[in-house]
Amino acid sequence: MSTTRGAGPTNAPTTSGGPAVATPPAFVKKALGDVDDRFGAAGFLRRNMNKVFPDHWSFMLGEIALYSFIVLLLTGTFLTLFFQPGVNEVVYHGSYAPLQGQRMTEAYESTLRISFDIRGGLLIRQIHHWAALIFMAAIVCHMCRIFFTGAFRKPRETNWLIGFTLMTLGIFEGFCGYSLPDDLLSGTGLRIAYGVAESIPIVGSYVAMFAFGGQFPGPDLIPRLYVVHILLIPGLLLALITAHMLIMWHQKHTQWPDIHRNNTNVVGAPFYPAFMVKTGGFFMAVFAACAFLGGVVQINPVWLYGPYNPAQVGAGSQPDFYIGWLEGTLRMMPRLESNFWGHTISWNVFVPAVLVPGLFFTIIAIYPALEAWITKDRSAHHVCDRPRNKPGRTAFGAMMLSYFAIMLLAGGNDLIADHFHISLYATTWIFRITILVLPPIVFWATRRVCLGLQRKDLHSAEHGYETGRIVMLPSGEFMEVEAALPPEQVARMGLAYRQAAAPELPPAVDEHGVRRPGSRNPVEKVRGALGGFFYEPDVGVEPNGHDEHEEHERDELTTGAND
Amino acid sequence: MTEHVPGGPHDTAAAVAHPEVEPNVLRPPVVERVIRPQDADPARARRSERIISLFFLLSAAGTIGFIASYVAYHPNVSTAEARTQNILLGVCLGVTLLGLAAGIIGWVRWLMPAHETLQERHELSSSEADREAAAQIVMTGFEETGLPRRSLLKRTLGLSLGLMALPGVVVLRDLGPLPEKKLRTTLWEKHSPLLNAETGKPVKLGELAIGGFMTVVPRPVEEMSPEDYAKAPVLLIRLEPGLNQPLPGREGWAYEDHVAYSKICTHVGCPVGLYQKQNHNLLCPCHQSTFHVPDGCNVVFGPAARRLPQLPITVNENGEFIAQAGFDEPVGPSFWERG
Repeated sequence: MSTTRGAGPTNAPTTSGGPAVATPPAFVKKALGDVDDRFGAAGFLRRNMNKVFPDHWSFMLGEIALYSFIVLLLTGTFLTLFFQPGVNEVVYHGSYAPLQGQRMTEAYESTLRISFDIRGGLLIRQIHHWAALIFMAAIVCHMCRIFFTGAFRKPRETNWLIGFTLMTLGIFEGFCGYSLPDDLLSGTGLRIAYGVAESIPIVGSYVAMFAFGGQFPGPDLIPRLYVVHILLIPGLLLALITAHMLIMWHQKHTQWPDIHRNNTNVVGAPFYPAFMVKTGGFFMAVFAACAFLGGVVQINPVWLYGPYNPAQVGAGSQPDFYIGWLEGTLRMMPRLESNFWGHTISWNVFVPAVLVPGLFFTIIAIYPALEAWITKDRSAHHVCDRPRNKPGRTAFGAMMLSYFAIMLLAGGNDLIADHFHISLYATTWIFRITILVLPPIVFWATRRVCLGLQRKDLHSAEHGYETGRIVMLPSGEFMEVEAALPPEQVARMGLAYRQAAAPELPPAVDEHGVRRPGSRNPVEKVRGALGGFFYEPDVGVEPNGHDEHEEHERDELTTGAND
Repeated sequence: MTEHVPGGPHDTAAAVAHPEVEPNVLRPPVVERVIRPQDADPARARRSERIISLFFLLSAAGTIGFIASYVAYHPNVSTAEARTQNILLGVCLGVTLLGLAAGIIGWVRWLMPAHETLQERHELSSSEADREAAAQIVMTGFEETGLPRRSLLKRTLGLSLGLMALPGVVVLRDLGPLPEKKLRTTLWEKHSPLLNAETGKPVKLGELAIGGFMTVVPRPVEEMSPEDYAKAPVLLIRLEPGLNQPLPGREGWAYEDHVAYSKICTHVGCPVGLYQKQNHNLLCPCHQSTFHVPDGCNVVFGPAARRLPQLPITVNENGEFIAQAGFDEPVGPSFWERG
């Protein structure tokens, strides 16, 4: 690129355009040639080693999920070498003194053995648990990034669905995993799961009996959870993660708006070598975080909870956070049960533990289709939206997050009551009211904030920024000089990708009294009403009210200031 | 540290329109040149290299530390030593990995080129001709199968494929027993003794102080299957004299201010473990369902919809508590057939 300015001296032997073309040594040529003769790999490598990856911290969230999954596979494999998924009773004779001589299941006994009698076992167990938390947290953050930047839009709807499935499977996987040790805490969680299954109308008791192999606790449950946890779900996760990555690779990554970036290109670092090496380093960093946490921060100390006993329960029992929101819905729900014709529907369990999660997860899964349907936007998008530029979507996302946040907090209402010295019943009532009142407020407030930020961006893009230089006009008037923003800064605002204004619809009944086709269609009415939230209202910048003479004078001054 | 020099043409079209000026056609064209201190000053680059190498050495030291902490302890050590070893192993492994991570990331950020490069996105959709051809192939093949014409073939195939799903369902039948009456019954029956769940000994009248409570079971815990035990726990509570307000029809179910209720919550089945002596409430620690004991364990707060089932009790000739009868309703959470 001969037009490049200021390339300067570099430590790498470069020409003005980029790194020099190195001549490969003979053995590299031979190795690549051998592979190419058999697999035709050179064409593939030529295309893919140069694959450009845009760089941004928010694109690392998915990587954290991927790398913590690898940590989970490594540590999980180690744990399977020692864990016994058995429900037969044994008497404990290990090195943890407080439980000496106690009767417990093989599952619990082998967990204690891993923790105290196998060197490094506790570390691997704790890394495994921490990595699981990081895995789920990274997935949630990654999903938020995808959601709020609109990266789920065409052509990436399939990858959104795969990602959603990964999250759902991750929740089940986590639940199965922490239920395996058969300690008092996890056994209580399983008891709740059994009660939730029982609450399903008509088939509930059958679902519970078939899943657990009989009445609670069921002789088959732990072995079944084990095979689901170490084979079935990991297999599905691995297959879906592979598909997720291949699709991402094929469709190329999204990128933030910038001066060189648009919907038909990708700007960033080539995959090989910089991106590849850096992402390898990032794997080490994620693993390091898990290792430090596993070494220093105790997690799930099952030896303190004791073996499961259906007659006992620990106070302040909390599941892991990705289940905790379900616990919250159960706690919030008022008592409600129907009895009719010899049948019972326990709404107090079925609604919060089955219906509400089902509804929320369905909305999350179909959201890309829902938004495309509302906005009629069927075109492909490769540039990330800034959340403020899509106020309707951002507000909806914030509202959904607030629902989950309230549910999660409600799952710890006993701890909140205890720490803040509020009555337990008051916290429950606070959450019951909050979950009805707060999310709509969050929706409204987020939308206003987005519109305000957008208006500010538009203003700075059109008028530039205030330089802080006060000058006196010949007329004696003082004014502050404004300077235009650098073009790349304006480009980064992504104002070109703002949500379009609502389409102008002809009136439902025209001047001849003829009704427009479809104007009575209830589905179209719903779409129109939802569109009211998604389409951009007018955020045009108000004219500043100066007359033309002043405006002209000021332009001169501003120009002068720039010289 | 990093200085962005907007060097390349701002118009991306220009960068692509003149590929001949790009000397390295094998790499994506550079649109934004990044010049770091390491690029400008070889001495600085060498210093960065030394720092990176230090990180790698630190990582190697971490690995040695890990192995040392592993062999320094024997298996079956005391709990405290196991914890110390855990911390040492975790910190050493963390140092190993963090040293590698820091070194690698420093290597990329300080020594590898950081220019922004550009690649055109290829249209994901194929050409109109390809689409047309694909549709043609699909339709031609479909015609060749004969399915559009041969309705008998189509229907019988549909039937057999549809039925083929059934074995997959049927074969799962033995996953568990049918519910039948299992959820309705417990081990409690007429004359079942109230045994202390901890000791397995019968509970005698006067053993409980006023305001005291105890978990009791009908048989020693070791003699019950886990399934029976999960439904068996009952709380025997001694209320203050005259406090109990028996429900109509349950007048004789208490014995001298002693009442017995199922310990399994009617919400989702946690043990209702917390008895608050001051206000005589039983609280389930899982979801905070609260039952007022003197009032027949009526639900006063929380998500549970039903009272805890009451066990009618009396005392036998030895002064030991026994059940007058089993529960007259299923214990634990509600289910469809409960009624």
